Amino acid sequence: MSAVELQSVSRWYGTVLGLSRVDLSLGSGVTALLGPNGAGKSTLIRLVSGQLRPSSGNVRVFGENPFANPSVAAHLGLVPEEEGFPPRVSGKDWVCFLLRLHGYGSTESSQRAEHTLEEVRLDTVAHRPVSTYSRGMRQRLKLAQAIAHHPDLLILDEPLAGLDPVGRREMIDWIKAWGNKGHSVLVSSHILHEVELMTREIVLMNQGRVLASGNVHDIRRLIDAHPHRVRLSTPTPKILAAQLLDFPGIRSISFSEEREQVELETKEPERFYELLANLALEEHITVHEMTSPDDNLEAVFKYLVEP
Amino acid sequence: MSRFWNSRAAVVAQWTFEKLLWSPRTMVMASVTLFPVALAVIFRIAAAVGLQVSFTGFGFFSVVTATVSFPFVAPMLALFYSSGIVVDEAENGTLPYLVTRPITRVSLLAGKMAGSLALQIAIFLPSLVLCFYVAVAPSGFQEVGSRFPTLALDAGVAILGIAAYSGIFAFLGTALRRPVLVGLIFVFGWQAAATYIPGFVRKLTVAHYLQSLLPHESLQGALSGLWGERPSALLAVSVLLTISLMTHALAILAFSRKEFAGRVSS
Repeated sequence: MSAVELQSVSRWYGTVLGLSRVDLSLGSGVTALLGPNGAGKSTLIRLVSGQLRPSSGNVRVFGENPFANPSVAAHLGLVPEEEGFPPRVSGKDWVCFLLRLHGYGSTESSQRAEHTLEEVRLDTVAHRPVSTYSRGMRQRLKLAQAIAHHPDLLILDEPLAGLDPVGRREMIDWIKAWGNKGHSVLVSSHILHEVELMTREIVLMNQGRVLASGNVHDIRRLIDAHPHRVRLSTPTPKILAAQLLDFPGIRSISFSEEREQVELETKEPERFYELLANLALEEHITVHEMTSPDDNLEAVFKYLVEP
Repeated sequence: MSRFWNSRAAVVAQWTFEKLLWSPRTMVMASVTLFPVALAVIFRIAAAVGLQVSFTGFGFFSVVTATVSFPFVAPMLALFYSSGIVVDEAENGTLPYLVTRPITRVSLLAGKMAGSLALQIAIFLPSLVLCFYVAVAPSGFQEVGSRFPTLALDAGVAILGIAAYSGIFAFLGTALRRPVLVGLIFVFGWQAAATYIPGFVRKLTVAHYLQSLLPHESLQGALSGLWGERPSALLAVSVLLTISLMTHALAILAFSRKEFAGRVSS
């Protein structure tokens, strides 16, 4: 039996369409919901976690309707997108309280909470008020409350939002590890390269519809077939632009000395990144920041849906 | 019964009570409930310095109870605690954690309402008792002893009244987005105005039944013109209990059917 089944599910918010005739079946391992803001990812997550009812169609989690259903909720762990915690509560108290709602006694809740907080490296701050936690700590606390009762289905809504590079790496490793244990994991993101690090299975969403589902590398190939835009922040934009002009994969390049920025288009992104790393090492060119607007899914979907 | 109340509902009730107890709201509401006590202190000081006061200690307590504690303090307490039991969780962003746990919505809200109601009573009753002792104790132990049954009845009426108001405001809190505004209009608009409207209208207020239960005989005589015809004690208790049960049940029903769409951003 699939952990999650959606059959022709639509969801309207008044006259606004949140999700349109979605069919989906998820088994064990990590599956990523990938799509830009407004794609319907959070709506789908709220339907699966039993916070919303579908306007039409069927949602089944472990074979049951999840809406306000305690027997389904017993098998769920949710990392919500919301950045909310009760005021004046410590991390341990919060996890303990939520564990008690799963029916654990106070002693067992306390032990499980301590163990889980240690697992997510919050044991040293477990008794501090959550209001004093950093963004990364709060994100790890959200993960702790979701996994403390060892759910069969872990749902994470944009779990990497606001994390620093180290925090992202850790969160990705936890998510992968949870999936490798044979649990089902549903994770939403709008950043493609982060999803690639977590799983190969993706569900591509846009404007409330599932555009494609399957292997992430197929999607990556689709993207790489189109010119790839890269923006570089450097104190020497003119020198960097001159060096990059010799690279045959560059389709266009522009720079601004005022903004200390170089922007280019390439059809060979992998080779370009390799070249840039070599330039930085050999020519001692400083690059403060590298962003690829094309990794933002808005651009990807433009490629996919526009002729 | 287990559908409404079980060990998980008790956990929610305890958590709600503790979190509310140490909240800034409780500091504010404790100050409000101490207002009748402050009036009693002023009354005692005035009597002690020889100013002419037209009430006995117990008479003063009766007036404060009937004009401040029951019509103002009790509904304010209920309004500011009960209307927030769902809205506060939504504003704090903690509802998704609660509604995705293996506890029925019925038990979740029952636990929250029980914790909130227990705190309201725990704040109101000490103020009532303190006001009584400050006002009456200087008249001697005999006076305190003879008036104690009245205080006990006041406490019972207070619990009934707070439970009725709590149910109303808990229902408003689960059904409306701005329950406090509607609650304020109910208490200070509708109830205040209905008291002065002759006939049936005043029977549509909680205050009408509460006032009729207040065990202060001298007061009933003095204010009977204003309050109008009093319902029997049995009818008043029955109506208050019905209001309390019905409104709490409506709140639970509204919460059970509620969907939580968050910011609906995606």
